[in-house]
Amino acid sequence: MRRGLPIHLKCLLILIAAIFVFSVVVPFVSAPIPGQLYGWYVITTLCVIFLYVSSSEASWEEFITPVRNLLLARTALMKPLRIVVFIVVPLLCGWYFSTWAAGGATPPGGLRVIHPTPPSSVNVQGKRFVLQDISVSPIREDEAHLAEHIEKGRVVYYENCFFCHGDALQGKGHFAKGFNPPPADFQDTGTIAQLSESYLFWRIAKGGPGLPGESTPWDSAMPIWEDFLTEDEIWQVIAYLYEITGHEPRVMDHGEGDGGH
Amino acid sequence: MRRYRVNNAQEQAAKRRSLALVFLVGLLLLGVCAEIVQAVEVPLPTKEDMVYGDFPVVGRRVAVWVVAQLHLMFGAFVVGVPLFILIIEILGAATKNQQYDDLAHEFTRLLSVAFSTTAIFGGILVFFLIGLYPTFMNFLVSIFFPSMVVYVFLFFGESFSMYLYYFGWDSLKGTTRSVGAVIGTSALSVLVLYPGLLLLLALPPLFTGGGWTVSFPVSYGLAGVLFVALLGHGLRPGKSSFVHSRKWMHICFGILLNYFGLILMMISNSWATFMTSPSGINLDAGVFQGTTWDAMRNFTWMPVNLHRFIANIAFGGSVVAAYAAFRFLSAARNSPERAHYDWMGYIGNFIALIGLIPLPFAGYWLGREIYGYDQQLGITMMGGIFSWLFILQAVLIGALFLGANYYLWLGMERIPGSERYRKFTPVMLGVLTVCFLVWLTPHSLVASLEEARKMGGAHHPMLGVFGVMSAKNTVVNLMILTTFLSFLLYRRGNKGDRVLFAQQSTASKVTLMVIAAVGIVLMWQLNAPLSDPDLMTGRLILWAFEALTVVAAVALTLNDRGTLGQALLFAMSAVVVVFYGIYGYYVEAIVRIGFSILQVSSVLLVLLVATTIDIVIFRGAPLVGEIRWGRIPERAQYVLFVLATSFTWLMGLMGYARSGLRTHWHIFNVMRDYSSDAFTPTLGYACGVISIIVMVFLLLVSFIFWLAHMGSVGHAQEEAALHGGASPVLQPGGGAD
Repeated sequence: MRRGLPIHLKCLLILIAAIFVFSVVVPFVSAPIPGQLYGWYVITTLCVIFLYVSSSEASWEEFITPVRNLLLARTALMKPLRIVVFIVVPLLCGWYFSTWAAGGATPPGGLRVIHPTPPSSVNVQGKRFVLQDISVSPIREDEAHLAEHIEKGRVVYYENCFFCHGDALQGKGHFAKGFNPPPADFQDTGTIAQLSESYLFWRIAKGGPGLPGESTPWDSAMPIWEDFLTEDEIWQVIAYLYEITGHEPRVMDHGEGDGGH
Repeated sequence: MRRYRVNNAQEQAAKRRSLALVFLVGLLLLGVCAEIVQAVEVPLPTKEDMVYGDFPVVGRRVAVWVVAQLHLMFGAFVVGVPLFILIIEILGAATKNQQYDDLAHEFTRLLSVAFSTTAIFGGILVFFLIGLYPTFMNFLVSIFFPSMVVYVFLFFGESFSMYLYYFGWDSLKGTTRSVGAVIGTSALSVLVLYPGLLLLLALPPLFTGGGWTVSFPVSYGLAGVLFVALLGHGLRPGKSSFVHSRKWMHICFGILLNYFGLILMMISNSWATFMTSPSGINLDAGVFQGTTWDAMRNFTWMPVNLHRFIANIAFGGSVVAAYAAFRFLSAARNSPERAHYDWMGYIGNFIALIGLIPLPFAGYWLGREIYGYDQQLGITMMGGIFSWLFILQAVLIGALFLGANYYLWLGMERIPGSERYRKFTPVMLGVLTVCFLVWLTPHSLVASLEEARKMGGAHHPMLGVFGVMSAKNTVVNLMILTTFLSFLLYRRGNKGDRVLFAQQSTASKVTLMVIAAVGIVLMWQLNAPLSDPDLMTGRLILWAFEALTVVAAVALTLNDRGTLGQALLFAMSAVVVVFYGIYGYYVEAIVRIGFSILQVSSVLLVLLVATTIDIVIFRGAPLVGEIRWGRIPERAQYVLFVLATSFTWLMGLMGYARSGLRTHWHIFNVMRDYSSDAFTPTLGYACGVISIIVMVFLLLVSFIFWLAHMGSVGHAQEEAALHGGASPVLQPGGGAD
């Protein structure tokens, strides 16, 4: 009968391979994984290794027998080894948790909400907009002049937004490094691609100070653009953002109070 | 003679009283119906009108939250467990396996205690709501009162059908040809088949693009014809059929019990969903204008109904499995009780899995409808403060899938011959792990400033891709496919060489062909965007790809290569799921949402056709050995506890998300919460409350199980005393396969 690697070695290799992927491969290909997510990945890997070894009686016995032998000190060699393990393992745990609890100079990671909840309606420059009722931007209704509007939006962008959101609309403008959190990356499929134009209208018009009360603090440096731009200019820059990134604005279904939609 | 006359007079009086009572109830019901269709105008209370009561220590919100959630969990229990019992009873009647019948009967003992506990929590909830939120409740009652009256009457119906079901278990057996019984059974059959009739009537217009329409007068006519046909069939002399079967009559009571439970659930759902997605409100006039029915059929009502219905199946199954696990661990090693409870745990888990598989899609529909009703609600749920609850949900659902598979793998220990399939376990575990890691990866990460800078923002440039819907849909479909594969391997664990297809019965061959054809037609219905010619070519290619794979799989089965056909189906679905998962990143949101339907339909096609192939090719196959019930590692039973706890926790978590979405509104965007509890609690606090509720629920359920166990012990002792011997012990055997 063909015998593979001992199960403990297999487990160790799986763990090392997983940690290698999380710590080396992903950072090399892209960027380091934040500590919290890294922790989730490692814990999941450990749980899965446990499921793997215990998913059959044969592999479980193979895995647990040396552990049982060690805990029960069934051989002469096991007794001193057990003492070492009983001293070293608690010490290691203590060292790890004291280091973890001591913290450091770096502030802990924050639980951030990326898409603040919009209000049902906003007043911009004295005009009331019911966001739910705006399925598409008003300038899109004027299809003949849409290209013109987008061009005007480009000018607005480079005169006002470019400094933070950058040339490639990736949130890497000249001032970007000064902000925490960094400016939004419009190219990301998780930002404007997920949102409707009315949402962007609210965010741009009201800026950071217009963000809702829940999930504070927001730490947004976005100015209140209704103080500097006209309503049309806001719609134009929104059209430009979608045009240049290639994303389609989200169009909402509208409820008619009919259950079973 | 005189005595006879007195009795006769008494009988006449009793008849008159009964007739009067029926007449009064009829009038009342007519009145209620009139009320339901009667439009009302209810003014919205102003800030000054709002009155709130106080509750010591925890406050009014937590008090209502805890009681409402416990009521809902017990409600799910008394809707889910009868559904479980009914499925098992029908399975027993169809396979003529007494063990299923005994299992179902064993669980009816739980019902009366569970019903009263649900009612107690319902009563407490009503008192708390009236005392703590009187103005708000006054507004709701003004709109929904007729439905509340119907609710009360239905509750009677549910209680009585439950008692008929419970007490009639032993007496309703065998066959009878008495005229009264045939009339009763025919009437009951029409009652329970009526929803099916409505469904049949709704199907043709659905296929011809006419939408979901039903003509009620036609359905009444057809119901009448059905009744007459059944009656004629029953009264005709000759061979006995189901109309003469007392068991069928009993099953009808079970179905009625479930109908009552479901309608009750739907009515109370309408009150809750009205708070999230109100309809009939005229904000300018500050009034509700419309009928109770208008308020009931609000935007999120049906999605919530469907989601809760499926969730109740899964929940009922998992609670039953946990009970079985407890009894398994309490029983002596190698005892017949262990074998019985091992089998019961397996059946419970099997039913839970059947519910779990479509549940994410029903949830997805609900989420989509919430988004559709109001983007504010949608963003609060999926992108705003409640989005982290969905990460917790992902972890729990991942644990459910991993746990369910792990249980099946451990279950193979008791199946001789299953060693042949052990080699697939690491591969399936690997797929599940990768899917789980993607499933739990949030789009926006918890990161320190340093980490965020290294990533270039709050999103990881590579892993952030896993945080959006395309990735989530892809991995959940792959997890379902893997779980289904685990089940197929488990199922064929002790099966020997397959019987040649040519030797299979004609019925098997025809069934396979019909199922394959139905699958292909359904795919056409689901895939073909008849209204959008731009997407037609792509969808036609997809449909042709799926249809050809099904044809190839059937052709391989005909040539005794059925397992290869199944592998082909799995590969086809994996390709479709992954392709649309990746393609989803390159299209706009509205198109991407449509992709999820294509992904899930391909998975459902595999479930349908591959299961049929499996049944056909292993039909009559020799057994390597009998399943050794009771010979499963004990850790498998702890998995069943984990599954039940995860389901309960998920209900608490998502129940809070659904209700909490309204943030500082009693009725979203209509009636504001002006109480001191209007704020949304922190996630940690909310999770703490939910966890306490889950623990209280599990403790109460354990108590009910203990009561039922005590009752069954007492019953067994009485039986033993009556028969002057030992109590009968169930023989292990059978299975859901």
